[in-house]
Amino acid sequence: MNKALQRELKLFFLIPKNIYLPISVFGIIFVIFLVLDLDNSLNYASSFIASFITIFIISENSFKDDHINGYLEQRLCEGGISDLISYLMAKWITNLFFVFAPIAAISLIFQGHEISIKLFGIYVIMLSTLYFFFNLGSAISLKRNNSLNALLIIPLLIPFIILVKGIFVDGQFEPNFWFLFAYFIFASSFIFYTILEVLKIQSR
Amino acid sequence: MNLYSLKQISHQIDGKLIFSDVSEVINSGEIIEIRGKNGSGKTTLLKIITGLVNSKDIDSSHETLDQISYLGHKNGFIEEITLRQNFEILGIQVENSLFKKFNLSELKNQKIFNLSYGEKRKAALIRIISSRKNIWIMDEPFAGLDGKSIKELKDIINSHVEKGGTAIIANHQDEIVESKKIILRLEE
Repeated sequence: MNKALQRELKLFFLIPKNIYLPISVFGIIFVIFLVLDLDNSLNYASSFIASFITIFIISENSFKDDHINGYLEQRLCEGGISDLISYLMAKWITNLFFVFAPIAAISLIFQGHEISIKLFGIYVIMLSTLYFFFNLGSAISLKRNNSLNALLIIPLLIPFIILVKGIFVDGQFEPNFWFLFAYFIFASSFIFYTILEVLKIQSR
Repeated sequence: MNLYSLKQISHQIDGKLIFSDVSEVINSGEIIEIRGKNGSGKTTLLKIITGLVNSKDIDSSHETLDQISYLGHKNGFIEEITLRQNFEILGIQVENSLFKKFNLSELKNQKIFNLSYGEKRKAALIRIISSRKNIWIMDEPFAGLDGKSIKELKDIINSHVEKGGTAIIANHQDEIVESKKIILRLEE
């Protein structure tokens, strides 16, 4: 796990696009909404859409380079599925600190919410859930080089969107948070496992 | 020490039989050279040995997985960063003498996309050699290498095997001259 995390962290800072791409995509979309001068009730929608598209775009290339250059094949041959678990976990942890956390902070500030650890945590859980779903789409479309399969994942997210709206727009923490958390557990276990299996099949 | 037992392995892809009845016992301290024409299943057999492609007709000890260093057709390097940075992110320490042996000393600070095919292949081989693992599994390791590098690599493989290591190689080029060698032919 340490080696995988070390690789992902170093790669994140060595390749500039990893740093500027998520924040600039998020920033551009967010600024478009600000320029459109939407009223306050749409602040949540604008930050959610900006976050949604950002996670979609960064997930699209999650495995592409490592698949093309043969790194995924190497990992599976040298360390088997346990190495792949470390690889996926390391990617998620890196994004958690350097992409999801900044996006969550910016979103909450612009939504006019009080910056509470609770809301920040919920936002990060929401982004992580999106990340796992879109990574599944990315793994499925690895050999097809398009984003259609990632779009197929979006219908799975409809209940998730309803829950997130309940928390951030309607302000109903209970029971929406617990359903959202269950969705996160589902994404970080079942979807995570499915990503592993899909990557294994794609690397053969 | 017995590493793998291949028991009449056959493999089909989309209903087409690629190879059949391949049997061999692979022990540590041996070179196994898999030879055969294009499409004869050399790469597939290597993937079966590593476990990437499932087969119930192979037995391997549990310790083997931790001991594998694998080089497929692709090199596994990130193109946008330098050779030195690629080894750093993998946490692999490479002796300078090895870079010198393969004439890569002056290319350490070059980005991978600036290197030729042969140079990239030599860098990938350096990763295998520096991995400190016992089982080297390599798919066409001599492809794209110049004569001097091929000789160096053969010497390194022979020396690895003499020290008790194992090399399993799919190879198209001239056969590797070594006494403890098994040739596995996949053809016709």
